[in-house]
Amino acid sequence: MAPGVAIAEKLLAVENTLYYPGMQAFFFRHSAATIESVTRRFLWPSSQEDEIYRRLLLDVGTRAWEYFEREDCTIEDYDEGVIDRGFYTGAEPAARAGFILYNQQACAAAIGKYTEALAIDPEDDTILTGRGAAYASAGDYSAAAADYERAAHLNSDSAVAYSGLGTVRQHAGDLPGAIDAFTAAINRDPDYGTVWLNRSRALAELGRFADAASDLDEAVRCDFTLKRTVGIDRALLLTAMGHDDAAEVQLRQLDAWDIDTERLRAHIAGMRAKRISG
Amino acid sequence: MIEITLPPPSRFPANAPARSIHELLDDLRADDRSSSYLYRGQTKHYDNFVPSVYRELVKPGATGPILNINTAAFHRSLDERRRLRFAAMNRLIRQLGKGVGNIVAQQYGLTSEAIDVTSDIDIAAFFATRTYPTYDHFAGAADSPIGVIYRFPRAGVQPKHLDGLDNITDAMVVQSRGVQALVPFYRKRSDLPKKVETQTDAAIDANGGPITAQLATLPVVIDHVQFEALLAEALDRTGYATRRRYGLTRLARQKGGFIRPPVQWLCTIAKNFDHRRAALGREDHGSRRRHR
Repeated sequence: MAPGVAIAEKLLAVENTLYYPGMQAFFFRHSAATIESVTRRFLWPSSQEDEIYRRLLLDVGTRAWEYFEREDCTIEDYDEGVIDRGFYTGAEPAARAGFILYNQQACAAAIGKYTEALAIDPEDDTILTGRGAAYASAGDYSAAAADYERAAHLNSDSAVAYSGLGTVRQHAGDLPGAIDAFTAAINRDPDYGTVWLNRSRALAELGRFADAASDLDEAVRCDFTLKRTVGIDRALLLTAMGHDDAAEVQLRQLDAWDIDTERLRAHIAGMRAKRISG
Repeated sequence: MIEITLPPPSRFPANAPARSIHELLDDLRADDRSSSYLYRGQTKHYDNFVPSVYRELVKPGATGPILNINTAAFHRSLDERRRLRFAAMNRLIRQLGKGVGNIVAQQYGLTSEAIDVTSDIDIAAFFATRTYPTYDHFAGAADSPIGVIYRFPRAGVQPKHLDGLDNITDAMVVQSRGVQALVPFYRKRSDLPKKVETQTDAAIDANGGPITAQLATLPVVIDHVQFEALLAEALDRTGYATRRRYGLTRLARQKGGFIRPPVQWLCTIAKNFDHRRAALGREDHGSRRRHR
């Protein structure tokens, strides 16, 4: 028998914390004097950095999506949301509209909405990375790079900003610059699988095959959902390295995962022929 | 019930406030060279100060050390948004444990039975001079010219017994300062799985039958260092998130500590409840020695 067992049946009262033993209240007159040593962005990192926050968003989002659809709001919505972003600047509705338009690949309209949001809050690095992605999708890599660079300047912890910058540089053919940016992203978030994958591709383009292979291993370790994409990249990489037997084993693994490898095999055959012809 | 003391007067009482937040900060810093305190800043002082989950259940403007809870109001206030928040908090509690889950829920705006405080005077000052939700600077208003920073002593911090309430053999009632008290994160009947509820009722029946008792929980104060250790243990145990990026969470950035004020419950306990065996800490050892 547990002697200390009790069941709490009905809540009766709570102690007023103003009466907490030893607590003291210090009053001051409000004035124009401000506190600048901390900022709201420092106190509330976005879900791109705060892993517990990201996990909570995922948890609530997957269970309560019907509520958010019905109320036409986001998880972090000020009026109807479930999780508290911490602060709200008024830029959130336009940023959300930009995100939706970007997902619909309406890039020009998305850029317009993100720009509207940035007019309200020019310091929000997550809006800048959103607009950067929209610019990149629209093919305007210099505008995308400018947004990602500014986001990284505003929030030096942002792996997303450096990852985007790397992708844009890779598209522009600046492979060493891309690798630098991807490395910066990895240093900030070593569990960011997509960045390992993208750096692997940049390394492979530079002929640094062993480093590229190592990054592929990391990509799938961080994010198991990338295993099919990594499998395709690995088959290409092994072919480029001249390891045709190992590439064939990888292709059979892809077949076992029900991936249609017909075009991939044709591409690999072309790579082999090119290599043999010198 | 813990002894109640009126808040001692501070150097800057409401009728003689500091001339600015900076004058107050200089004074508080000079008085806290050994980091002996936790802080909470508000743009305005209110007559009562309770955790968010109780805020709508206490009569507006209620004053005094003990504030009655209107449980009917609680059930009326449960719209779908609040239900989703409670459901998310309960999942956190299942995953991370009752104490840690409760505190994470507080910090991410779900709901909580705790009040957040900080070890950092500047962070308290930020909250004392900025208004939700934009946190733009608040220079005062005609009906709100005075802000406040509350200071709590770290001494007496009792982070024990936050978790581990997994079966009916865990002590729920303890002796503290000569009175019976509930452990801070007690078990409610509504939380009990049917099997555990049946076992608990049977255990109570076997010890003289049930009687009702009015019990209060022990107060808890946790600073950010203690909380980080508790969270790290929970993350290692559950894999909920990685520890290496803890510095990028709002919990770390805000140097968040927490106060769990006592709450009073009407409880069912066994008539032949053995106070000595349920006692904890020094009082426990003392009472056992006396009985030998």
